[in-house]
Amino acid sequence: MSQEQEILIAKLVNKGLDGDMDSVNACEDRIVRGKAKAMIMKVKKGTVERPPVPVSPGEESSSKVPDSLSKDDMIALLVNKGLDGDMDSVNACDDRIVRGKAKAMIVKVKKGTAERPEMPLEITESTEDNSQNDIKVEKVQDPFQEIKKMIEEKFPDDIDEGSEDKYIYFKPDNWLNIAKWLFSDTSLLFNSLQCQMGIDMGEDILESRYNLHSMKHDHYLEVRIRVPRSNAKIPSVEQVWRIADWFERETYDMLGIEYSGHRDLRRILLPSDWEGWPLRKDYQEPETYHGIVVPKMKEGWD
Amino acid sequence: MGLLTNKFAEDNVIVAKLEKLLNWSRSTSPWFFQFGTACCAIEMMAAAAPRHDIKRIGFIPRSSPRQADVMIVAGTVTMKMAIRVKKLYEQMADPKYVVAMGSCATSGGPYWQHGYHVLKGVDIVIPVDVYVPGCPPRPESLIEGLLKLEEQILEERPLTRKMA
Repeated sequence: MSQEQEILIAKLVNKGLDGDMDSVNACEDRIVRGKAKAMIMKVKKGTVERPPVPVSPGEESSSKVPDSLSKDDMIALLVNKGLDGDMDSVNACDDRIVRGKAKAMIVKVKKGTAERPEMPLEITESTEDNSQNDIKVEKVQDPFQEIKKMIEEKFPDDIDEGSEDKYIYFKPDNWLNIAKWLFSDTSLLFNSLQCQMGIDMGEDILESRYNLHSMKHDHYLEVRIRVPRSNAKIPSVEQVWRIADWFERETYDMLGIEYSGHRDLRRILLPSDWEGWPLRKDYQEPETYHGIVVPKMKEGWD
Repeated sequence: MGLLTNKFAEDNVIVAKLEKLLNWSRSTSPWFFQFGTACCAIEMMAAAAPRHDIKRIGFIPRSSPRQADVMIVAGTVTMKMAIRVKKLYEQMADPKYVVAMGSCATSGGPYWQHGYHVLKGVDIVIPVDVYVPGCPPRPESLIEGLLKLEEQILEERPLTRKMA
């Protein structure tokens, strides 16, 4: 048993005895968890003494870090560091948006078009030795929430219900405008459509999904659009992301979703005279094709 | 020809059945039509490459159906391709033979039930002489199939009138 595990056990035993059994159960190391539970029982029985609360070195250092930093403060801090020659800290920042903005600002300050921001007050004392730690504080922020907030402000009427933490549903009508905006807005800059796919969700619903990625800010967004089978029409984004050309042709080929505005909407894999949309759940396999009879069962098969 | 080298003084004659001579010459040089429809083609290429070298037994790849005697259907045949396979077969000159290589070409293979786009065996559109099972078959299996085809050619009687 290593020293680390012993410290962890002592910590968990103390927590458990103080009534916080959840943290004990949440421990992932089975051995540590079992030993901690056994020790708690023993202490309660009185056969073993309660261990002292250990002081781990990790907690001491993290207490020096400020609890939270606002985005502006973070950018100001990074800009100051970058201008002082410490570009490593800027590059080590996990939040893409903050990093991008900080870098842009550094360039501007160097050009002289912007003034050097003031060092944020609360961290001026402790930045010298803990530069790694105060940058990690920002990691808690989820870029998706920021993006979602921006979208909600810009297009409040076009968001469909069902959006969750990792994706967002749009109504089909205004999709082309939204796509153009997502592509060109400087703080989003979704310049890469990584994947586009179609799904038959059953119950007469077809869904078209888009995985967007920004090469500049390195953040992701999944967009989903649902349409009824009877009126499966979605504006084409082929002219926004050129790769969508073949993606949309394939989704059209397999599911029959019509991408209006697509300049070359033909089947891409199946022959052009094929009937029906094969990946729809109500698809019936054809019995013949160009005189070739498709046997459901060949002789001798069971 | 090792047996006959330097055995004759002047002009020489061999007596043989014409049919046997024809069959012998046809069975030892069945040029095959070089195209692959799916992953079995990789094994076909391996069979044609130096390690297995099916040129030893007379199989020489040709790129035109007009010059080929044998069509090796190497791989899955989709509905879209089936029409083209049939057309290519019709372009080959008689006598012509077909080897269905791999389980897809023989019966649809893994797509036999749910592949809406796959032809369930190439024998639905063209007559097949030899089936080579496997997914994909190793070059040895293909060579075995090709030798079987050569045996089949040797047993033919192309000049004899067919009785009704």
